[in-house]
Amino acid sequence: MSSAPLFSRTRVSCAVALLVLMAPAPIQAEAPPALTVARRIDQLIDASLQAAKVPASPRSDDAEFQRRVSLDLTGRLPPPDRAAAFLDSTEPDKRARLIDDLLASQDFGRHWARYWAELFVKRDGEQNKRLKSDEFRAWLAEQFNQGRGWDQIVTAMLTVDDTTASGFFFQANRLSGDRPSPAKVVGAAANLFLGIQFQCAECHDHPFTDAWRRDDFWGLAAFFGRTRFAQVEVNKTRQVKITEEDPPPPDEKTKGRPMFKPPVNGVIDVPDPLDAKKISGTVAAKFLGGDAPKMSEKGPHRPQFAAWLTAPANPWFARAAVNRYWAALFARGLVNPLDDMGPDSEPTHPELLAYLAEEFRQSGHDLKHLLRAVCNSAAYQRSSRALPENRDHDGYARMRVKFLHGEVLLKSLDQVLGVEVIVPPVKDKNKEKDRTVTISNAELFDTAVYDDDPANYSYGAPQLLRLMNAEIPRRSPAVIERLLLNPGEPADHVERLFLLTLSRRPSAEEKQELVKFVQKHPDPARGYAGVLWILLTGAEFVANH
Amino acid sequence: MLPPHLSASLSRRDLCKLSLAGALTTSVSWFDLLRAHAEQSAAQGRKPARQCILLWLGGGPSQAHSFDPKPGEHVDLIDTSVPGLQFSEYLPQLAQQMKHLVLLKTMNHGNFGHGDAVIWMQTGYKTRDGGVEHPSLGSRVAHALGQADAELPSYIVVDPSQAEGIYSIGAGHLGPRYNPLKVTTGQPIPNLQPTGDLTADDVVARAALVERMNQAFLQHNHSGVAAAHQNSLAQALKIMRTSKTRAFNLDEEPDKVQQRYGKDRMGRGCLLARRLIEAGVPFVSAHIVDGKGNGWDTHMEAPNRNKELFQNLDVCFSALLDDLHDRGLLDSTLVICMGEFGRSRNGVEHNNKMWTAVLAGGGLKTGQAIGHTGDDGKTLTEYRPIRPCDLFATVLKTLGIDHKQDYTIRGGRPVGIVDPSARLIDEVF
Repeated sequence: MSSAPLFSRTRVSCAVALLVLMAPAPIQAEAPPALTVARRIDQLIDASLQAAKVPASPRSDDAEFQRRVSLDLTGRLPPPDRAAAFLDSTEPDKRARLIDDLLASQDFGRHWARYWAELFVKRDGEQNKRLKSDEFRAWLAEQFNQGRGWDQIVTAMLTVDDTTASGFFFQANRLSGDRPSPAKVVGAAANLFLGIQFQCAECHDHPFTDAWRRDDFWGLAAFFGRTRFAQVEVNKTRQVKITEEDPPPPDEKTKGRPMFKPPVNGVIDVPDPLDAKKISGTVAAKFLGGDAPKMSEKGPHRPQFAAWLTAPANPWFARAAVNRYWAALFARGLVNPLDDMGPDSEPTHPELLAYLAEEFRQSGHDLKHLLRAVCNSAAYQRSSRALPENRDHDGYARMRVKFLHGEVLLKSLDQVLGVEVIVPPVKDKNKEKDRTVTISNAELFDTAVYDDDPANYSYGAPQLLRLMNAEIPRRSPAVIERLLLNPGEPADHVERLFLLTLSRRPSAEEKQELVKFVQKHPDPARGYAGVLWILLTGAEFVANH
Repeated sequence: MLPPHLSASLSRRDLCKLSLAGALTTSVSWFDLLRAHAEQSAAQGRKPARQCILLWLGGGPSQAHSFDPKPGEHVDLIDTSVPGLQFSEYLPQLAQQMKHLVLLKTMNHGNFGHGDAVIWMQTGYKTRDGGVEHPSLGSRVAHALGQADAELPSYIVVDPSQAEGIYSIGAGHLGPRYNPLKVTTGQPIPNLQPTGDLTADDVVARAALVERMNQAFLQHNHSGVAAAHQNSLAQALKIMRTSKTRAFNLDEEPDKVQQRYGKDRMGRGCLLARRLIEAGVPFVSAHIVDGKGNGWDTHMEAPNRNKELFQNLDVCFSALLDDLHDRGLLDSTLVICMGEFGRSRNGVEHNNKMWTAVLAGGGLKTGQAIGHTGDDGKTLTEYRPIRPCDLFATVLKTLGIDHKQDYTIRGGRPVGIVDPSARLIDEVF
């Protein structure tokens, strides 16, 4: 087995060799690094389109680009005044500047913190349904906004000792008891940070590759054998910490309860896959495809795992992050499914993946650098409009239309309709329990399952009815009242509503038709409310194109 | 010997059996055998049921106080309409309906906690088995039997509690199209009518403009998102317009019928279920709770609460069966009545090893109990433990859905509609 290639090093070295051969003309010294990377992305993408003889759609117009990049980087619509200013600007580098502004905004970190928190929670959705992620999201948003390297962020998540913020990863991967589950931790880390479906090897040798045996899985799990939650008192408040230390000896209160005895020397008991109560053997800590490191008796062992995970020598770490962020922007990974980056996977663009992973690594795993580069590429800035020759093409000839994730849709609605103040209902204990199904917007629109495809539309009649019959009519009078404080003709108001909702100006035809619609109403406010309803209920609003 | 039209339909083997039984000399055997044969043929040509009601007794109902009582325990026993089978005294009307029921007395999944047990019994799989979110039974049936042009959703859950979310009663890997519509008895579909001064006519006029804009967007962008959105909008408009939503208005029922079901919450839930079946909905799940919204997790209150809960269940469940039968719907509608597990013999603790689930109607061979639990209610006799996947396979087959098929999920991976190890409960077909 040891001779089987764990990862196709040959493929990487080929790719590297190819890069050397295909190296672009000497780069102008003054070009910002992200733009250089963007150019390289386009060389590789364009080459693949030429090879497939598929023409690319034209560049997106400014409105299309502005809405797309705002939603992609910050999960927010451009505010209408900024939208208009951008459309009117004649600065040649306005797109690059907009990208920089969005990356520098607080919403950038918040958006991606939501993205990752949801992946953590939904990997074990039933168990985690009551897990509060607010503190974790705030912490993670701060890391992203400060531009901390992805390797450092992941290391912090795996090694720190608090459960609320950075240690959320362990909370989301706990056993039903009061401990993180080593198997879940390794399964999730492999999925999310390495892009590999390693969890199959928890119970049996991996079905799709000879390289991963059951012992390899438990060799990684062994690094977390001692990890447990501990109640501690800090400044007279009880807090939960993550620790690898031995638990205190039983006292009066805990006597008689079964105690967790942390294993020593990095050796873990492997449960029988058919009966979790039985032990089928033990495995010593060992890196995947690597050595069995020297393990201290009582840890901490997590830092050793994190160091291996994020090391430049680990072939998966940078590739997985690149693939995941690429997929979030293009609604398709360079490897699909995103967590199928194992030894036998076939990237659609192997050189591009290898190049971006190397660039990402060398930049210090700088996510803003990666996103800045990708968003500045012509591939990203292509229109979603189809040409007859590329409408069925599955590559990068045009931008794939994405779908607004529930939370992004609700935030966008709040932006348009005003933030809603939710008053919690007062509970009367004597009253018969009211079983009326009052489903919050957050619950109703949270339709995505774990690691959903961003192009996967998932609203049905219940969500549409809530929008068209409740949310929009209930909240639009206030918007229309503010709208009509502006001077101008009906056409101007219609244009304002377009900028507010779709971040673009209406076409001449749209303007004419909707003005006519408004004028049919004796009460103009009602007419404008109708226009707002039409714009918010349409496919263009729920799409990111 | 035998009339030719009968002998032609009997195999050599049957004829051997006939002669061995001394068919023409004893008084009953050959006639019984012929009748059994006729019944078997009927079963083989059985038209599958097309609709399903799940009466969900969340919390874990006590089999010892209902369908599997033992003499000398906590309740008096009464005879049912099937000789040899007895119910608890709390179920006098259902006892008369035993001819329509199948009792599965050896249900077993081994999960003690409510959360995981609910997932077992709603999805037929253990939680995230194989790393997959498995769809609920209702989502599977909606996926298999729902019509694209239906005016009502294909999977409706009546009175779920807030805690029951997407992971137990939801669509899992089938995607949110097959999530249930959650409704409350006595109330219309949420958001069916426009808020404030907006009228349904306004909505129709506006929606026509939306559709035109959507078409333009779709044409330029050629996107699945736009097409799917237009589809959902059309479905929402259809639900707003269809007269079938009258099914939700229970006051249309004659008072006599409402009385028969009981005007308490569970009675109204069952009545709504019947009205939705009549309106053509393939899968209706009614969560059976008392007037305070409490279910079957009775624990220490078992003695009192069981009496009240089961007596009320007796009224609404028997009314439902009667009513379906009278309307000619019982053979085409499978009714399942179960919780996530049962209870210990005293009704106090959880019991995940041997409890009773009930099937009714559906064109099944009813009037029988599958498995016996010994004198103590704990000893497996005459049958094997019935696992959730066995039950699910049997339910799917009853509904004419191939229980051996695979779904293909993300990454082209095949996942069985039920666990491939599932064994049908053949005795019911």
